[in-house]
This record gives sequence, structure tokens and C-alpha cells, in this order.
Amino acid sequence: MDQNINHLLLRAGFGTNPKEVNDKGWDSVEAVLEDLFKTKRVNIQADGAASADVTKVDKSRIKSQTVKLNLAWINEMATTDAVLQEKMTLFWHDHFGVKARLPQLGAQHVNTLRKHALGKFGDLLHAVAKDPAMLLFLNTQQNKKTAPNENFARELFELFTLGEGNYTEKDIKEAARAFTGWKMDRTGKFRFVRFQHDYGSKQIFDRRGNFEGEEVIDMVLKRPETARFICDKIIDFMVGEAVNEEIRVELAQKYSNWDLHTGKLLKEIFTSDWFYHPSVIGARIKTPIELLVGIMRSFQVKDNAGLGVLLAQRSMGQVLYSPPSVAGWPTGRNWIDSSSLLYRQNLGFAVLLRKELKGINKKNFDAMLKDLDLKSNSVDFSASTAFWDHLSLEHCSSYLLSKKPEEAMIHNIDRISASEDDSQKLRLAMLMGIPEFQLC
Amino acid sequence: MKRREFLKTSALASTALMIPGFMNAQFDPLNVVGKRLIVLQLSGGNDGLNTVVPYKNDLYYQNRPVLGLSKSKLNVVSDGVGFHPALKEMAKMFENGDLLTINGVGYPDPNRSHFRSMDIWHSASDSDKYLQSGWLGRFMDHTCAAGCDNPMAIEIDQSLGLALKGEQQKALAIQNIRQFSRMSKSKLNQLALSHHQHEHDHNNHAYLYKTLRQTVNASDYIEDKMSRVPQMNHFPVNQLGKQLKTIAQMIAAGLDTSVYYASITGFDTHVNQLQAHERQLKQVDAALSALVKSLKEQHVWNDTLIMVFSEFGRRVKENGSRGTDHGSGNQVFLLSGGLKQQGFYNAMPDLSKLQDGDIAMQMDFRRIYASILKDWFNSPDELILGGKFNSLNIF
Repeated sequence: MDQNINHLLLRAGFGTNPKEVNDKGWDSVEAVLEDLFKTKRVNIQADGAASADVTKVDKSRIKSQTVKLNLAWINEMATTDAVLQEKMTLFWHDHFGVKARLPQLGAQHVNTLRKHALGKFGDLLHAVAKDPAMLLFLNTQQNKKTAPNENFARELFELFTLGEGNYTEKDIKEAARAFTGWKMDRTGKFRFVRFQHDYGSKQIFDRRGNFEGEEVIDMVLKRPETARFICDKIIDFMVGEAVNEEIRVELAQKYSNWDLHTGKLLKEIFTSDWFYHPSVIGARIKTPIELLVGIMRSFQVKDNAGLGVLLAQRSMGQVLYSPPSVAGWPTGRNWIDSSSLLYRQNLGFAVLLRKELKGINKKNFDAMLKDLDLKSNSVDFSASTAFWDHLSLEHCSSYLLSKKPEEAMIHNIDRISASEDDSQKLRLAMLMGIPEFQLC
Repeated sequence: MKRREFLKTSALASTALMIPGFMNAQFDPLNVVGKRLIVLQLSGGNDGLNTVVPYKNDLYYQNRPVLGLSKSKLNVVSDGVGFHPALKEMAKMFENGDLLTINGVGYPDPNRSHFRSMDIWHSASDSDKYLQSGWLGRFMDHTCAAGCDNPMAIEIDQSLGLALKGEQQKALAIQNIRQFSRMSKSKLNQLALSHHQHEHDHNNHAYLYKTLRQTVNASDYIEDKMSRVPQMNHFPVNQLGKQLKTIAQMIAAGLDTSVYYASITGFDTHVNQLQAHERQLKQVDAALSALVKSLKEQHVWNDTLIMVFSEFGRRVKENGSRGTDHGSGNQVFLLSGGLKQQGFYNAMPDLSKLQDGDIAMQMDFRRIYASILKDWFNSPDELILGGKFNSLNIF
């Protein structure tokens, strides 16, 4: 397996396996790139989502709906052909940091993210701003002419577009007025409430006018700071923080010229020489979802693994549909400490050798188990190593690891697992147990 | 080797450590006795108003017709104030001058989400700022800037909370010492470390190996120290009792660790609070008194500080389900033999001046952190907290 192809698939997706590479006939980076930008229409829904009144949700079902949504998305990531679309959906999920109290709204929100994941950032932002999950999450629902709520306006500028220092407190106050009357109706759709809206004149970014919410979003999209802020975040996520200023300035300019078309920016990144520089390859610490989905894709683990997939997310600290705050999840080294590293090293063993994951408090999941009719022994991940069985360890490592490990390491893993019954599974699990597997 | 045997000696099992020449230095506890902090986190939002009760205040009983606790059941500690009936031992500590209660602790613009508010307490950030590091983690960053041989901070849990994650340094999270040791000293880890040279790079690859090496070393160090530790059978046999017992044993074993962290959940009492809250506080009271007893017997009580906090208090007015909803201001308890001030640091909350139905903030929690950092640990509080918070001058 070519190192550059593997690198591209690890960053743009969640890694690959010998069967996929063979089936797709991926023999060059260019061949992969041709498939990478294909998108898929996916609509993950909570069951019973057709309910006419989303606010009248059966509380006893929230837990099981949340679990089912989680598994459906994880499964989509683990099986989809549109890996870049899913990867960027995850990126935007982190970017907007929305945690919805009602599962149906959370599902709707992520479907919105997915729809625009590789398109224009402006389309995404306009859609997200009117998304019921967002309206509730950042209190736009409570934003009235008589009592403005600044929560959405503040995060719109600080976390979603411009970044800190590129706006004033006055801009926030005035912008909040433009979003008054933006509400969700009972069916879970956006509704503009005229009598709560402030039609008066506002002064934002040194411009004065009777701005509406949509206009404020358009104003912020046109500012160069937004192109730079989003572009930087995508570079950090896809390439790394070490990318130099010259490249960042150039890419932000291009992104701006392309009307913030994220797909075009990504293509530019993936076709640049510096993306494949040895200092970039294997330099990034996988997020828990990347680690988990990566293992699932490698060994065709399906969502019937249920509990195990959930426990793993919970234990590693990243649960889909449940970001810790509007600022999203931690990054990089913040995922790694002694206990999390030990857990992450053992995930491959748990999946391939059906060992129970150590260090889990299963008590928390009793309620979920009841809801889902799962027994606690369903930690079994049902993994398959069929298309790995005949491969040498070195060959396997070229898929599982972003960089070739030291020769002696491969040799020793081979040596100590040679006499085992399930020696190939052990070898694979051990490859996933060495620290290098935590990198991509 | 059969597979089962192999597994015993592979990633999930332990064998003798093969990392050369590291943890050999014998450690003399007498040389390193410094100040220690034990944090006890009450997760879920403890109802402070039913923990330290203003039994002479009519507003209390007006707001709590069902949940209000009558004077006859309380452990009266001063005129008009009683500790919850379950806090018998803590009331005694109050009498003995081992305890300081700080009322109305919180932060401006309070957040009523468990997760977010806990993050704010952990990171010591403003409520509209998001930090990826915790206050004790940054304390470690500062103290261990030139390296720490032994684990400076230990959380007794399966995973590490934000409070103990620094930008450079991370504390250890250990629930079960044997399991931790088995996992960290697996054959695979020995193999990985033996193939890996010390890197001077600061890249993520080097960081992973550094973390792994520290984990193995720490596990070896702790296992060795804890091999000859007293039984301490006087601790209650429940989760919190076990956590605090492990801490007491670690201290008795002479671990060179400055910060310990334990937590207990179950304080989110929206429904039928009376029984649930009593059960939780009973556990806290019993486990804390066992810990204090042990620390006194070990003659380290003057050098040990226990801080008990929760992410927020609860709404003053009870709800319709015999419970209380999320609030804001709450008390913090400090326990130590080294307190300059005991009893109450400040006045009881003013129930006639609520803020959105909650106890108003009388004290920013970061002033307590600043006091601990500056006056207890003699560390640069401003640097670690990212701002100036006046110390309380209590140590």
C-alpha cells in the first residue's frame, strides 16, 4: 500500500482496508481523489420523527432514540463510500458544537451539516442559523425585540466565522437585534415572528441599515477574516498546525475567491505537495471517533456491535451528537493522558479478540440496554479479518499505520505471536496497540 | 504458548518490567513531605441550601414547604445555622476547627448545564470562555516544567477529568491499581518502549512515547510503594469510601503526590430529593470522616487540605416533584488542620436577594483557587489562573 494514498484516506476519511483498495482500484492518489468528492444523500432520522409536535416528545424514548441515532451515524461513517463528506460532517459538527435536547432536532441538524459539508460555507451557515437545534441551543428562540438575547450573535462572530478580536461588543449587541423573532415552530421548522422582530436601524461593522438576520450573515461571510478563520481551521484539521503563514494566506485568498466553497479548498489541499510531506504524514493524533471508525472500517465492524461502539465513545470522551460545548471537542494532545492512552491501545484487542474493554463502568448503560433490548455481553464487535488473513504483517501495517514502524518492531510482533492459534488477529491487534496507531 | 497464556502476558496482562534503570532511586517520604490537596467533587449539583441550612430564616421554609429541614433534625453549628442531619461528623469537624465553609461561591453569568458549569469550575475560565486545560493541570505545567519524576497528581477514576489536564502535563487517572499496572506494563508496551529511543522532538509521536513511558514508570512506582500499605478497614465499603481509602493509602505509602482527586455522583435531585440527598450526604460524611481520621493518625492533617465543591447549587424554590432544579451559587467546604480561619468565612446567603431565583454569587470560586495556589502551594496563582483573584488569606 502506497503511503501517500493511505495518508490521504486517513485524513480525508477514516482509513481503509485491502478489500476496499482492491475493489475501487485505487492505484494512485489521483484515482482516490476522483472518488473522494462524490457525495451521497443521507438522511438519518430518529424513529417516530414524523411526529407533528416535536416539543411533545415522549421523554422515555429520548435515551433510546439518542442511542439509535448515534449508532446509525457511526455505521454510516464506517461503511459509506462518501468518506470525505462524512469526515467534513464531523468537522462541522465540532465547529458548531450543537447538542440538541431533542434527538429528532439533533438528527435534523447533522443532516443539514452533511448536505452542505463539501459545498459553500455560506449555504451551510445560512441553513444552520435557521436550524431548530441551533435556534434552541443558542437561545435565538428567546431573542425578542423587547428582550434581546446575544448568545447566537456572539458565537456567530467568535466561534463560527470571524474569530475573537475581529468584532466589537457593539457589533454583537446590534447583530442580536437582527436575529430577533427567529423561532422554531412546533413541527420543528423555522418560523419568523414579525411582532418580536426589531425592524429598526442597526450599526454593524461601521455600516448602518435596517439589517435583517440574513443580511448580517451575508455581511460576515464577505469579511476576509471569515475566509481566513474557516480556512485555518480546515487546514489545522486536515493538515496540521505547522502549515506556514505563506500557504495559509494564499489558501484563504483562494477560498475567498471561490466564494468559500469548501470542496474546492479541500481539493487544493489534497493536490498540494506539502500535504504529502514526511513532516505531515502521521503527525496528527486521531480523535476518538477517528480511532473507532478507523478500526470499524478496517475490520467491517457493523453497528450491530451496539454497546461496544457506544461504550468506546463514552470511555474515550467523544460521543456523537453530544459535543461538550459550543466550542466543540478538545483537539490533539488533549485526548491523550495515561489512562486514555491505555484504553485506546487496547481498543484493537477488544474488537478483534472479543475481549471486554477494560476500565468501563457498565452501570451507566443499564438504562440504555433496557431500552435497546441489548444484553451487556453484546460488547462483541463482530469484526472480520477475512481480507487480512493472507497478508504479511508488514503489508498490514502499510494500511493500519500512517508511517512504516521500525523493522525490529514488526519482527518482534511477528515473533511473539507466531505460535498462537489466532496469530493473525493477534498481530493485527498488536499493530493497533503500538503508539503509532494513535497517529494519522 | 497457548493463546490464553499469551493473552495473560500480552497487552492486557503484566510481567516484570524491562525498562532499564529508571525507578530504582529509593524514596524517603520524610524528605518530600509538602502540602497536599485532596479535591472531592460532588457531581450533579449539590443542594447547598439543604446542606447548610438557615433554620431561623422564614424565607427558607416558604420556598421549601416540602423539602425544608426542621431545626430539631439538624446538626446545629451556630446560631441559626445547621448542617444537614446526615452530616454529623462534618458538624463535629466544624466544632473542632477542622472545617471552613465559604458561602455563595460561584461565577458571574452562571451556566446551568452540568457539563458546561463543571468545565468552568475545572478550567477556571470565565463563563463565556472555553479552555482546554484545567486549573490543576496548569499548576502541574508550572511545577513540573523541568520534569517531575513521580506522578504529581492522581485522580481516582477510570478517566481523567479536565481539572487535571494541563497544556503539557496530565495527571494519572487510576481506579484499580492492579488493572492499571497490568495494562501499562503489557508485553507490547515493553516492546514498543524498548524499540523507541528517547526523542528530543516535540512532535506528537514523541509525546505519545513520553506519555507511555511516564505511565509505565508511574505504575511501577505506585505498585512498589503500595505493596506495603496498611489495610485501613475503617473506610466505608462503597464507591466513595474506596476512593478516599485509596488516597489515604497512597499518602500513607509515601507517594510523592501533591494533588488527589475523587468524585461522587448522584446529586442531581430533581425528584424526591429528601431520601436521595440524605443518602448521598451520608456517604460523603462517612467517607470524609474516615479520611480525616486516617490523615490525623498519619500526622499529616496540618499539611493536607480537602476541598469539597459541586458544579452549582440548586434553585431556592423547590419544584413540583419534591425536588429542586439547577441553580447557581453554592457553598465550598475546606477541611484541614492548617486552616487559619475556621467556621464560616462569610455570611449565609441572603434569601431575600436572589438572582433569577438562585442564591447570588458572594464569592468567585477562583478566589479559592488563588488562595490554594498562592498561600497553600506557594505558586504563581495569577499565571496559572490567567488573572488576578484576591486570596482569602486563610492558610
